[in-house]
Amino acid sequence: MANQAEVTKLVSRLKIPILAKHRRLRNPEGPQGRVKKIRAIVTALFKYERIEVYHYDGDEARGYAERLISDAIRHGDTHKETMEMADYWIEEKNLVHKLFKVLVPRFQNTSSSYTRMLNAPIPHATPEDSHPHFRSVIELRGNPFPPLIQSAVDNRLLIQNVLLEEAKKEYRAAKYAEIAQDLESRANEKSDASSETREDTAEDESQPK
Amino acid sequence: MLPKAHLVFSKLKINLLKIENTLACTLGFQQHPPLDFNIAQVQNKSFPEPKTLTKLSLKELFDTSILWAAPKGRKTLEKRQMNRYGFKDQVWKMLMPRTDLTVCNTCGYTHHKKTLCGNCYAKVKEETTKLQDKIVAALGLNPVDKEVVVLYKGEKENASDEFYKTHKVIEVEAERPPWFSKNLLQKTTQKPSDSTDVKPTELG
Ligand SMILES: [Zn+2]
Repeated sequence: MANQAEVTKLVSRLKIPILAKHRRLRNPEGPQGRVKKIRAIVTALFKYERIEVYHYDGDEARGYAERLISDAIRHGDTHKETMEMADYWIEEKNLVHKLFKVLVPRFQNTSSSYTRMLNAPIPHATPEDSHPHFRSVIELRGNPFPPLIQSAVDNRLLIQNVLLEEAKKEYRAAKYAEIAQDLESRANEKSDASSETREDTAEDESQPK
Repeated sequence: MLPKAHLVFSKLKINLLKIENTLACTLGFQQHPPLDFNIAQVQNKSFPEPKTLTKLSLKELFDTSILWAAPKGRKTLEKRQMNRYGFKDQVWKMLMPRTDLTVCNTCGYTHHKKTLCGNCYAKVKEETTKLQDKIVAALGLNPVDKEVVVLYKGEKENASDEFYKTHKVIEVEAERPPWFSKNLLQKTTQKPSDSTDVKPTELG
């Protein structure tokens, strides 16, 4: 019993809901085509950090991306199996470096999921109870792009933000003025000192003659 | 003899006029038809030639005519109403007011409750694709080992050399859009200051 490994620790526990059964993602190439599609989506997600795909494909591929990041955080880049997995699921090899060198430090201490998935807008005339091929937006958290859900607090033209910005500017200007004054006074002191020393040296030079 | 010659000449004249007219029309000197002759005319050939009707016997009439697919029995009232309006919870054919639309807090457009706002998303998507193209072009095929940061016009002055070393900085010529704020909780591009004095005291 003591030797038995804890099952929960064998596999990373993902922070997103995963279906009990995988989706088949039916396509002309069969199961191989499914894997191909997922690889393409995972690669694109690591490359672009925000993509828009069909919900079914995206939701399926999202779990793979989460698992890769989670494994990379758990085992690091010296672990052989993790590296093989990353090598298989990521088609562009420069992105394997990104997984271990950029994404691992980024997500090391997060408590939430590593990716976020939101429903893309649908036409207004879509019937309420229909199930069309919805599209979803998947993104890695912490990406450098504008946020998908805006909050009014973030707006640069919000009055509080304008005031804060002006206060910052004023503070900075005051600081610069202080530094400039400080430098000036120092320079004056120096020049006074140097002029005195110059006079001394001049006297020294004149003495031997 | 004389009236016949007159007829021939008049026909010839008409034909010549017709040729002149068509030439003028094809070369573009004149509109067709000339405004003076704007009279409705129907070509005789456009009429279908009348078919010769044959008498049909009553049996033939029933076998070959529109009476083929006529309903033979009476539909019940339930059936007729079902065809007309559908069934409430399955196929309901009447127009119903939507209940899953909501107003965007940022721009005021309506969108579905479960989806992103279409107007805002279009704006964000345009900017995102622009940035993505720039980032992908800048990174190329080199191994990615630094966090990418986008700096807009007038922001790179604040960035320190150390920041440039630890991040891959993508510079954008354009001004930062007002709806795309710098993340206030993100690590700034400036060095953390070690001064302890506090300035804003009498604001407002
Ligand atoms: Zn909106």
